[in-house]
Amino acid sequence: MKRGTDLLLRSLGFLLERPLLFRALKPYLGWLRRKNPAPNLAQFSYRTTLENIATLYGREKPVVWASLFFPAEFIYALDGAPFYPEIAAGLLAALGWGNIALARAEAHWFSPDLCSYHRLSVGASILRFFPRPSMLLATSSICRGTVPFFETLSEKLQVPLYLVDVPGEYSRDTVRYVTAQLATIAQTIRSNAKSTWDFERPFGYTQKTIAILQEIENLRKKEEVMLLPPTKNLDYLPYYYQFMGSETALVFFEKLREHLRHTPPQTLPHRLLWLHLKPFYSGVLSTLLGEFGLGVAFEEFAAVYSGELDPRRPFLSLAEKIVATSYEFADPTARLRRIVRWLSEYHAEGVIQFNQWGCRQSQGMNAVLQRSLRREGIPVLFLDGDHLDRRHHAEEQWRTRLQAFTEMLKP
Amino acid sequence: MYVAGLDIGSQSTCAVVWDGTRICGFSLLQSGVNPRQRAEEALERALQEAGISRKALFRVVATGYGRYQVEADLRVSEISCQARGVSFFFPEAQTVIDIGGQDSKVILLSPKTGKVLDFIMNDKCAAGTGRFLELMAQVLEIDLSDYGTLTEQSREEVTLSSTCAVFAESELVGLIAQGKDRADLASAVCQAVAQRVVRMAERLGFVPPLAVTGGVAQNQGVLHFLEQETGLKISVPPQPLLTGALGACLVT
Repeated sequence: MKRGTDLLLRSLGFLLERPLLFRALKPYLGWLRRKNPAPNLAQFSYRTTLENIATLYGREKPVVWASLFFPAEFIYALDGAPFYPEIAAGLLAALGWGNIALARAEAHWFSPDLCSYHRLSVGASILRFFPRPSMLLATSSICRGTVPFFETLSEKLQVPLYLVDVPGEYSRDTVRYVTAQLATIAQTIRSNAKSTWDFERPFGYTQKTIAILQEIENLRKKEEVMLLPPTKNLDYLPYYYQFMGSETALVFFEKLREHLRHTPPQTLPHRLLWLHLKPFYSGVLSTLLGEFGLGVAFEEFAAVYSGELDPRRPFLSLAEKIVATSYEFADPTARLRRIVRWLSEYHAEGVIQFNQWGCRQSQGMNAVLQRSLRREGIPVLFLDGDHLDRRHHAEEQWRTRLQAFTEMLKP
Repeated sequence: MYVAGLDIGSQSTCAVVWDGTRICGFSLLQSGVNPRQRAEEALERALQEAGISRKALFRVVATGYGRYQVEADLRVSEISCQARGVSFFFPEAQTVIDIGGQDSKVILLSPKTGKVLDFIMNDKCAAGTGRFLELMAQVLEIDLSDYGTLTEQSREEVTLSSTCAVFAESELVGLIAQGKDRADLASAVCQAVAQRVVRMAERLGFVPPLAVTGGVAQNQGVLHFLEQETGLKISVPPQPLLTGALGACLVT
């Protein structure tokens, strides 16, 4: 790396660790709220992003990093500020900074064969781009790379890691096993940090948010309703995970529901299910999908746990959420059952999965998905690439596959 | 009613003129660095052979990786076009293996209609494509047309441990240094390509009858190993480089 660039990155890392700079955003945010008390969806997203930056980098609350499937309600109950490095990695890639962080990780011996969500997060941590955490929380569910990734982060950042081992099976015993782990982790945190816990508020927000999400999904099941451009909903991922259990998610989804209710019907000729995530560093794929009339009716990652969260039994409720989510995503039979159900509910005629380079969870099931769905007469397309690392980008290959897939869908 | 099909591939550009019942003109050129110009040239030659002017064409359909770089009334993926083209020659075919210059694909199709049921394409590595055969031919200092004869002459089985184009090249250099026979090495290269493509076909679940198209369909060494690996008799169209352009004429 050139000396000038290196100096710039060091300076940026230094500035990102100055909380006062970010607390200075508060007056502007206050003014923004007063100026526009009823923002639309885009204005609300902008404000949320700034508020989130001010909270995380201003260190107003203990910053807690978590793996994607660790419920944010646990962190809100602790009055912490949740930070999901895998989500932040997507954001960094979208901002065009992905390759810098990836290069830094590779320079520190993190192989390009590793999942880019983890590699990029490690690189960004080394560069001090991410807000420094007080602790790390992770589950072993769904993604096999998560545990070593968080162990690496714990070692690099010198902060405690609390791991939850999640069995693949969904049963009373496995839920009980996870419940006990959550209770032990909570007790350890409480005795170390003298924290108090309030599950009532985050659980309340989640229950209300789930109700709104169900209304949104009922709207999306109508053939004349579609979120555009295709895969747009995956840009809202932080609201499904990081902000779940907060007022932010509730307000956001209320606005999304209003957007869907009041936007004139807009659709594309083909309705599809989208499995796994998408490249965040470029909008080319979305443009190609639109060009070929391939719309996304529903996304696998927008499937949220809708079971009851009971503040009287918080660890049992969260354990249910963790184990059920893990089972639905990672068990081939359960995953397939869900896909077939969504195909019917959303009037979708086919499935696209964007395979993330090196991802066992998604690619490991390709054979099962392809054979089972073909038996049902459902076309399925696997696109290969990387969600964050643009070096694996092959636009022409996507174009040919998408066009051929569209031609297959035509009656 | 005349229709022209243009297949602009990474290595060759083909033009076919179809009069509704038969191919009445065709041409085949190297794609070179200016696919648009080469496609125009190929079309002109095919029209000359057909003895008609461009005005007589009802429409021009483009396919292949360069389909968006040429003027055409319709652009269709090479996957649909290959399926239709093969179906014309072999109406009962249910699987097509197309090995082109820069990619390879396996297509499942409906017999008679040629409608694509499913397909799979190779990843971004050059292994399993015509480009791999070209690179290895350079290392072995042979012509592409020598692969078939050399495979026949091969006496000892040599296995290339990797079909990554770059690693295979260094492996081949090492085997040459060990004094391995050139015929055995040429045979190993053909086998490596066939194995890689057949593994891909197995992932899709190929169904006989099986047809092979693309430039590599002219390579007798690869065809030999494709038959060996699949245990099936393989059909090759009379002009395996033209099926894409012919299919472009036939799409509705």
